[in-house]
Amino acid sequence: MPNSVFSPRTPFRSASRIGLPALLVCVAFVLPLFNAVFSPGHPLHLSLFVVNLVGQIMCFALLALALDFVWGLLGVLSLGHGIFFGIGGYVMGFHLLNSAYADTKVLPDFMQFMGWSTFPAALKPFADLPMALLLGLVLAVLVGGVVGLAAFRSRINGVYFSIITQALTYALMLLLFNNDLGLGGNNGLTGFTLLAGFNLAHESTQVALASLSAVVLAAVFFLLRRLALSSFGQAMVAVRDDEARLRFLGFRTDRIKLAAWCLSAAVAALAGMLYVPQVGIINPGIVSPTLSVEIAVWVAIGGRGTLAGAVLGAVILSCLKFWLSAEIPSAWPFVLAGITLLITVALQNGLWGGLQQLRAWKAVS
Amino acid sequence: MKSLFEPLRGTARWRRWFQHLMLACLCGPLLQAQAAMPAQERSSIVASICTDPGSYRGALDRIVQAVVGASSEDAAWGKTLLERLQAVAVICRAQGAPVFKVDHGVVDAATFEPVTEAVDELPMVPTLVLARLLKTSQAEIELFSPDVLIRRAAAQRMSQAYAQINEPLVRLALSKAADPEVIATLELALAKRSLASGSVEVRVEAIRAMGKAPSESTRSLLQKYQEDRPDMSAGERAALTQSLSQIDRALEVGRAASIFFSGLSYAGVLLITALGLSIVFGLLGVINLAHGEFIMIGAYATYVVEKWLQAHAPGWFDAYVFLAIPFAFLVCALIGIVLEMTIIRHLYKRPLETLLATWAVSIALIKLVQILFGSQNVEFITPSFLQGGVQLYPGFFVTWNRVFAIALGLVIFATAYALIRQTRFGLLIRATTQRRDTARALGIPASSIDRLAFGLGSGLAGLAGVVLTQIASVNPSMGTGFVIDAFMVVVLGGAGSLVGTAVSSLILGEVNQLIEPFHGAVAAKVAVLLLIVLIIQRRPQGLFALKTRG
Amino acid sequence: MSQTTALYINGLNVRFGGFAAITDLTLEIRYGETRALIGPNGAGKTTLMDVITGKTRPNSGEVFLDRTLDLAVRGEAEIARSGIGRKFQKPSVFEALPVAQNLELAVRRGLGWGAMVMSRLSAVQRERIDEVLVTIGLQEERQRKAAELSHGQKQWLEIGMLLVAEPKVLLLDEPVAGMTEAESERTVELIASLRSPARAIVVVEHDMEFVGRVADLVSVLHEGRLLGEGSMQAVRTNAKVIQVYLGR
Repeated sequence: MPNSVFSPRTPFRSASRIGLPALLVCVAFVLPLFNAVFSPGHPLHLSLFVVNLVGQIMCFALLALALDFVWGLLGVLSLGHGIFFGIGGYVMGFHLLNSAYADTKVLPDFMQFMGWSTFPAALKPFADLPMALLLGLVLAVLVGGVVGLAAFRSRINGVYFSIITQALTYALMLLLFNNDLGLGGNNGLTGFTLLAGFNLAHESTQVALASLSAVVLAAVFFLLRRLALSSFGQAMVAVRDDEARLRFLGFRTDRIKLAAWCLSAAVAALAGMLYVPQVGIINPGIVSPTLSVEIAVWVAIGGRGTLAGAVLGAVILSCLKFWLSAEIPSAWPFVLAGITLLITVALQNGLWGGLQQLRAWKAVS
Repeated sequence: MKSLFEPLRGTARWRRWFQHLMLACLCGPLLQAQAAMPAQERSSIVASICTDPGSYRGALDRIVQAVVGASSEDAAWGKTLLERLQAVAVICRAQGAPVFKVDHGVVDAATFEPVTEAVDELPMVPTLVLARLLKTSQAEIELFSPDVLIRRAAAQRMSQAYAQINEPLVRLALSKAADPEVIATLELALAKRSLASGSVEVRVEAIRAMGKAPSESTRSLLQKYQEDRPDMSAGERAALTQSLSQIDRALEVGRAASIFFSGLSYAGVLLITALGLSIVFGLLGVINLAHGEFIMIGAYATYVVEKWLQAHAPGWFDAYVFLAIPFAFLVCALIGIVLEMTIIRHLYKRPLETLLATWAVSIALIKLVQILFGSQNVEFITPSFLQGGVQLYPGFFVTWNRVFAIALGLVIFATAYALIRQTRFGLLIRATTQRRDTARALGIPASSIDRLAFGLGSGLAGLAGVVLTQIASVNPSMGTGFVIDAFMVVVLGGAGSLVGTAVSSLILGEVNQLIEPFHGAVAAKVAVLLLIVLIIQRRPQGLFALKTRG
Repeated sequence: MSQTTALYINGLNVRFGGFAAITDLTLEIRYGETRALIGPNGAGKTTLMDVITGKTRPNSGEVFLDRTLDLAVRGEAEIARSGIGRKFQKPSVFEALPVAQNLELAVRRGLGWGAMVMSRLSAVQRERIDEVLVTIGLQEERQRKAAELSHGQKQWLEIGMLLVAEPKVLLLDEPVAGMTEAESERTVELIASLRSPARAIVVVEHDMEFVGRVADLVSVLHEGRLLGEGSMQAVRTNAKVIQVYLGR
C-alpha cells in the first residue's frame, strides 16, 4: 500500500493547513474592490470583466466545496451536482425575471414568443428575494432528498450511483431545453435588470456581488470545515471507509448520507444563486452532464477530501479555462484532459495533497 | 393496404363478378380500338369542343380514350390536341375544319396537314370549366405514364378531384397498376366517389368496403361522412358504425405494432451501443466514459469510407456500410488498445479514477474530431437498397434502414456472443476476469488478454457507430446521449452478461417507446431510471449477474 | 426458551438461489456462556452470523434475541443498537481515524439526528472508552491512526469498539486469524475476561486449541446443518465430526 499517511483515505485535516486557499479567498474579496477604489486608467484598476470573473470563480469554488463535502468526506461521487447548481440558478432567474418585469413592465422575450400576455402566476412566489432564496434552497434539498432517499435506501453506491446522477442530469437538461415549458427553453432566462433594488448593469453592483461571493465562500468553507471536524464529520469519514462496519455499530448510515447529501445540494444551489446575477443569464447548458463531471475534475485535481483542495482546484482550473479559452480556444479540452489524466494516474491526492506531501517530507528531513 | 375490391366473402362475391363484367364491357371498346380513328371522328371531336360547352366532358373523355388506347397514332393526336388546347393554339373556324396553330403556320386539327388558306380568327381561349377539365384529363393520361412518380402524382390529383373522375378509366388504370401507392390512392379516389353517389346502396357498399381496408385516410373519410350527414339512413348508420370500429381496431393494432417495432429498433440501438460497454465494464471492471466517443469515431470512420468510395470507386458506393464494418472495428479497436496500454492499465481496481480518466479522453477525442471534421452534423446518403420501406399493416410502416439496423445489430450480437462463449479467445477472457491469478498460474498472459478485451469492447462500439449512421444524426458530440443510455442498459442487465444486455436492451427500448410518444423524452428517461432503481434494489448486480455471493 | 436465553434459533433455512447455506438449524445460546461454532469452510458459520446481524434474511425459521426481538425482520443498525456486536473476519476498523476516535464513534451506538453535530461525549462515555482501552491493551496508542496498528492490534481495537457499546451478544468471527502466538495468547485472555453473566459470546474459529481454551460448548456445523453439540472433548471424539473434518 502506498504511503498510507497520505493515501486518499485521509481524515480531515485541522486548521493550520488552510493557508493557501484562505489567501486566495482574501485576494478574491479584495480584488473586486480594486475596481471601485481605483479609477480606470490606474494600473491597479481592474476592469468589470475581471471583477466578474473573480465572482464567477468564487461560485465555482463554492460548487466544488459542495462536491468535495460529499465525495471527499462521504465517499459519494456525484456527477450530477449541476442539477442543484441549476436549480439555484433558475430560481434566482425567476426572481430576477420578477424584478425585471416590475422594473420595466415588459415581458421577457421567451414569454412573448409563447404568446403570453401577463406575467405567469407560477413565477410570482419568487418575487420576494428572501423568499426566492429560501425556495431555491428548499427545492434543491427536496430534489436531493428524493434522489438520496431512493439511492441510499437501495444501497446504490459507487460507480452505479455516479452514472445514475449523470442520467438524471441529462434528463433535467432535456427538460430545460424544452421550449414549451415556459422555462426559457434553449435560450434560457435573460433580461435581468434589478437585484434587490440595485441595477445589475452598474459596476458597483457587480463589484459588491463578486466580493459577496468571496465572503459566502469563506463562510461556507468554515462551516463545512467545522462540520467535518465534528463527530458528524467523523461519521462521514467512517461511512466512506467502511460503511458496513458503521452500520454494524448501530449507525443509520443512510441518514448520515442523506443529511450530508442534502446539505451539499443546498450549498450547490447557493452557488448557482450567486452565479446568475453575475453572468446575467441562465440556460440549460449549465445542467449538462459534461459540466457536472468537470466539477469532479476540479475537486480531483485540487485534492479531494480536504475541502481546501476543492477551492484550489476550482480556482486554478477556472482561471486556466478562462485564460485559454480567450487565447487558444481549441486547446482547452486537451489541456484539461492532460491535467486530469496526470492527476488520476500519477498524482492521486491532487495538487493540494501533493503540497501537503511536500511539506511532510520537508518536515521529516 | 388491402385492396378495396379484394374478394369479398359470401354473397357479395357475385358483386365482384358483376364489377368485372362491367369493366370488361366498358373497357372492351377501349381495348378493341385497335384501328386508328377516322379523320372525320377527330374533326367532330374538336368541333364539338369548339361549339358545344356541354360536350366538353364527353369530348375530353374520348380524347383520353384515344391517348390511352392501343392506337399510337390516336394517342399522339390526342396528346397534341390537349396540349394545343392548353397552349391556346386551337382555332375554331366559322367555316371549315378547326385548325392548330403551330410554329410554321396552321395545320388541320384532325389530319395535321398544313392549311394553305389564311386564317385570321383568334385561337379559342379555354373557359375555366374547360381548363379544369383539361387538368383532370391530363391527370387521367398521366395515370398511364411509364414513370411511377408521375403516376403517383396523377393518382393524388384524381383522389383530390374525386367527384369528377372518369370511373371506367380509373378502373382501367387500377387494373393495370402495379405500384402499391398508386393502387391505394386510386382505390381511395373511387371510394370517395362512391361515398358521394346518389344511391344509398352504393354508399353503404362503399362504407362496408372501406371498413375492410383500414387506414388513417379511410377513417377520416368515414368520419367526415358521419359529420356531413346527420340524417343518414339506418342502414348507412349501421354500416358506418361497424366499419369505423373495424378500422379503429385495425389501426390500434397497427399503432401497437408500430410502437413495438420502434421499441425493437431502439432496443437494437441500445444493444449495439451497450454491448462493448458490457464487456469492458463487466469483464474488466472499467468504466469507460469514452465509450460514446468510440461510437462516434466508428460513425466518422464510416463517413471516411463513404467519401473515399464516392471519390475513388463509385460503383461500390452502395456497399459502403459493409466495407465500413471492418474498417471502423479496426480503427476503434486499435485506439482502444492504445488507450489501455497508456492509461487504463494503471487504473484497474480504481473505478472512480478510470471514470475521470476516460472522461478526459472523451473530451479530447470530441475536440479532435471537431477540429478534423467540424462540429455540424454529417450527412450520410442512404444506400439505394435501404431506401424506402413497406407498410406491413394499416398504420404500421417499417423503413428498411431500421430493419437493417436491427438485423445488423443482431448479427453483431450473435458474433460477439459466439466469440465470447465459443472461441478460445473468449474463454481466455472469461477465465482471466473471473480468476485472474489462477489464469496467470496457468500461463495465460493476463495483461495481454485485458488489452485485447478492451480492444474488442472498443471495436464493438465502433460497429455501433457504423450502424447508427443509418438511423441517427452524426456529430462529434453524439456520444454523450448514447453512453448514458448504454450504461443504463448495462446497470440493469448485469455487467458482463451478454444475455443480460440483450434482455435489458429490449426492456428499456420498449419502455422508452411506450412512454416517449405520449409523455416526452424526459418522462421516458425518468421512468427508465425509476425502473432501474427498483430492480437494483432486489438485484444489485443487475438482472443477470455474473457473480453471485462474495 | 429459558429465562437466560440470549439467542434463539429454530428451524432456520437460508438458501442462495439453488444453494442451501443453512438447513433446518436449531440452536440456543445462553447468557454467560461462550459458544464456539466450528465446521469446515462453507458449513454456514458466517451465514449464520449474517442472519443474526441482519445482513441476510432467512427463508424460513425463527431467530430471536432474548425472547422478544425478531432478528429476521430488523435492520442491521437496529440489531446492532439492540446489543449484538459483531467482529468481522477481516479486521474492520476505520483506518483513517485514530484509535480513540474509532472508539468514540462506537460508543455513540448510532447517532440520532440531533446528536449528529454535537462533539461532546458524556463523562460516562469517556470513562467507558478509557476502560476499554485498558482492557484491549491499547492505552498507549490512543492517538495513533488505526491504519498504523499491527494486524493483531486492529483485531483488538475492533473488539474494543464492540465492547464500548456494552453488548449483550458478542459474535467473533475468527478472532485469532493471522495472529502471532503471543497475540493469540493475549486474545485468549481478552476473550476470557469478557465473560459475564449478562453477555453471550459466540466464537467462530478453526484453531482447535484456541477453541478448547475459550469455549464452554461447541456446536459443529456441516453443510448448513448442525452436526453435533457438546463440550470440546465430546466433539473431538465424535466419529461423525472426525469424518467430516478429516475427509470424505
